[in-house]
Amino acid sequence: MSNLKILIAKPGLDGHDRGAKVMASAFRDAGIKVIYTGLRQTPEEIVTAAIQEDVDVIGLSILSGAHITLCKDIIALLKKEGASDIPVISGGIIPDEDIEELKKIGIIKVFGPGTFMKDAVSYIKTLK
Amino acid sequence: MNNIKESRKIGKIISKIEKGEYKDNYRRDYSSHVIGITGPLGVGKSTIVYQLGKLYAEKGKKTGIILNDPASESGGSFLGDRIRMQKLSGYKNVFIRSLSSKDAGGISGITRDAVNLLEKSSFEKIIVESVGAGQSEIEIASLVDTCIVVLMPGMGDEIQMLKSGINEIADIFVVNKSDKKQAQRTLREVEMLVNMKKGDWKIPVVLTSAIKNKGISELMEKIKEHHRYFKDNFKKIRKLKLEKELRILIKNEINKKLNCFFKKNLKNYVDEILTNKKDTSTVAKEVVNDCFTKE
Ligand SMILES: Nc1nc2c(ncn2[C@@H]2O[C@H](COP(=O)(O)OP(=O)(O)OP(=O)(O)O)[C@@H](O)[C@H]2O)c(=O)[nH]1
Ligand SMILES: [Mg+2]
Repeated sequence: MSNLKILIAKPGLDGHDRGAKVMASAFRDAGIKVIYTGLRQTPEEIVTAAIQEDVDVIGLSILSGAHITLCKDIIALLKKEGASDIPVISGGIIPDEDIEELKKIGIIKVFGPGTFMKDAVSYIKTLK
Repeated sequence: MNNIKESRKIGKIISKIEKGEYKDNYRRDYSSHVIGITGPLGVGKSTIVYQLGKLYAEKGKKTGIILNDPASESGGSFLGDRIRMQKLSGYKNVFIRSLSSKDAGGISGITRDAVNLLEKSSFEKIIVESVGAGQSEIEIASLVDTCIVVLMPGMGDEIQMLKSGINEIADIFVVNKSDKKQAQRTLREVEMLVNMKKGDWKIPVVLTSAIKNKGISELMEKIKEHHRYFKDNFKKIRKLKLEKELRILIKNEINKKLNCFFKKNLKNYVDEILTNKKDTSTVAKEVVNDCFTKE
């Protein structure tokens, strides 16, 4: 049995969380505990939730390059709160050129369009 | 006030509690007020927790929220109550934690330890949400100071569910989703039931529409009244709660032992009946008498 716990968050102001929900149910079916924070969460809210829930990893659902600054803020906040041991991954519709950018910021793994959920699941399971 | 460091510490300890790696001998001093919210699936418990939590937080009270979700069969779970907490994560005086346990039997123990930890960390209000699905709810209910049972209109058989035992534990009833048709009818039905109950605490029935933030301050007022009653009659209530809890726990323990006993011995007794021509009820009485009279 895996005790792995992931926080799935959807930063940003748009109201689409289909992708986040698909991720969430795939992880749950794979035996992972999933905490979903819902839409329109600020970096502060995401980091607070991750810390209170003591998750093993944060998964960000990203829809556009506009979210890169939000990712940056989240990574910076984790560092500030002494919680940079919590890895951050991201998935969603991310153009190739943004993937490099996200990795530079400190997102340890980016699942772009066309990722198979089972690959994401097996990757997540290596995190603990 | 920035509690993120404290949150991190508490967050980590609760993980240990979940894994069974943390125990302490803390006994509650009732400096916190522990409020339980229970009821059937989807009646609006989390939304009520959110509205209440927000009110308390805005009054400057240090507020802890414990959300209990049932684990799914894969062992994974979708801890969805937190979705309803919306902007509450942004409040510095609020700590929210979702608990899950693979075996439902464990959840009440974990909840108790988590509540104790929050009281020790001087949270003023501790709100515990749990799904009304049987035994573990009753156990959780007996560890809170004020137990709120939430219902909603159009559940079909409200009364049926009230009979299932959950009404025994209610200190306050909420009929949520007052914006829906039939809310008044459900309200009257619940009130009728409550009126038949004896006792010096008259169980209030509060009508709310959590999603529209209606009726929440009335609910808070009733919670406050109950807390006063709880403190004034502490010894008596404590005794009653302990009695209820002990009864349930003893039943649990007996059930566990009974299942082991059945696995091991039932076949032998059947053989005995067949060879010695005893009848089943005599054997049953003998077995039970043996168990309860022997030291
Ligand atoms: N119409 C109406 N809907 C409500 C009200 N309160 C909550 N809801 C809705 O009811 C649904 C369930 O709400 P929750 O707060 O998640 O209910 P819950 O009892 O915590 O659900 P579980 O934890 O899954 O058992 C959501 O879609 C809410 O938006 C209300 O006052 N009126
Ligand atoms: Mg809920």
